[in-house]
Amino acid sequence: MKPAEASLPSDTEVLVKRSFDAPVKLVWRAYMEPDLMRRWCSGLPGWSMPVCEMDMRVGGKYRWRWRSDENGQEFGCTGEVLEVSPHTKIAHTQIWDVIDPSDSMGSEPSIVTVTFHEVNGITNVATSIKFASKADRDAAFSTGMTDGMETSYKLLDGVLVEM
Amino acid sequence: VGRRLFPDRDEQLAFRRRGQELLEFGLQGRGEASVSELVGRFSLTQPTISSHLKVLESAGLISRRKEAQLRPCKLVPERLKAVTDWLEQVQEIWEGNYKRLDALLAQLKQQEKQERKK
Repeated sequence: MKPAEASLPSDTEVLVKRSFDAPVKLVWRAYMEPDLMRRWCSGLPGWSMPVCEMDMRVGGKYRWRWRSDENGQEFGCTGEVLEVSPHTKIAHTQIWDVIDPSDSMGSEPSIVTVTFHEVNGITNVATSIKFASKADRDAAFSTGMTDGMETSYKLLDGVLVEM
Repeated sequence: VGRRLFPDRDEQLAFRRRGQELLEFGLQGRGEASVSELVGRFSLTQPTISSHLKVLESAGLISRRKEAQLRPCKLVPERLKAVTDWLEQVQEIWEGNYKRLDALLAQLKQQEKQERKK
């Protein structure tokens, strides 16, 4: 499958697309069942996902935490499920807590929408992360896992927003 | 600038895409280009090209020679690299997860097959 494609459709959004060689009902399970999800959603190499609790009903809550094998550092996010349309769409809010309390990740939750679309046994997954403001998006991508991105990101801000 | 030029969101996005195309296909890997050269290369009017160049210049993505009347412009490669590097880093993190998901899905498919055989 072609590697994930990330883009910035607007100044408050990040969109990531990827296709999977599996029918949607299996991809769906990998997103809905905590035991399956924590096996793949561990983030960077050297990190694991020790906490993956989710009540995937509208109004249900979830809690995900990641931990560094090397030094035990942790961060995570929580949120509320907004929409669940089987084999089609999941939408939920997302609030991050970060390693360094001085990092501002924005006070307003972002909204994550994952859509699934199967064509001939291949499932296309699009993940949209919609931040409450541009400042929140900027903050989200200059902390924790995304070390070193800040400088580039600040440049990008100046560019794509104005374009 | 994009926002002020186009209050409509779709138009903003289209403007942004054209600006990226201009960078990618008009200036990347080439030397200097003048506005009229770019007008010839793209099916865009001169004012449109000029407004894109203004945005790109203010973002530091291109530089323009002031002394010459045509004000030829060229790409500032380091600046563009910083931008594309950032997107690549975002992609890498997601791709790490997705590769593990590929492996998990292959396993699930295999399990299903075996269950069907039983």
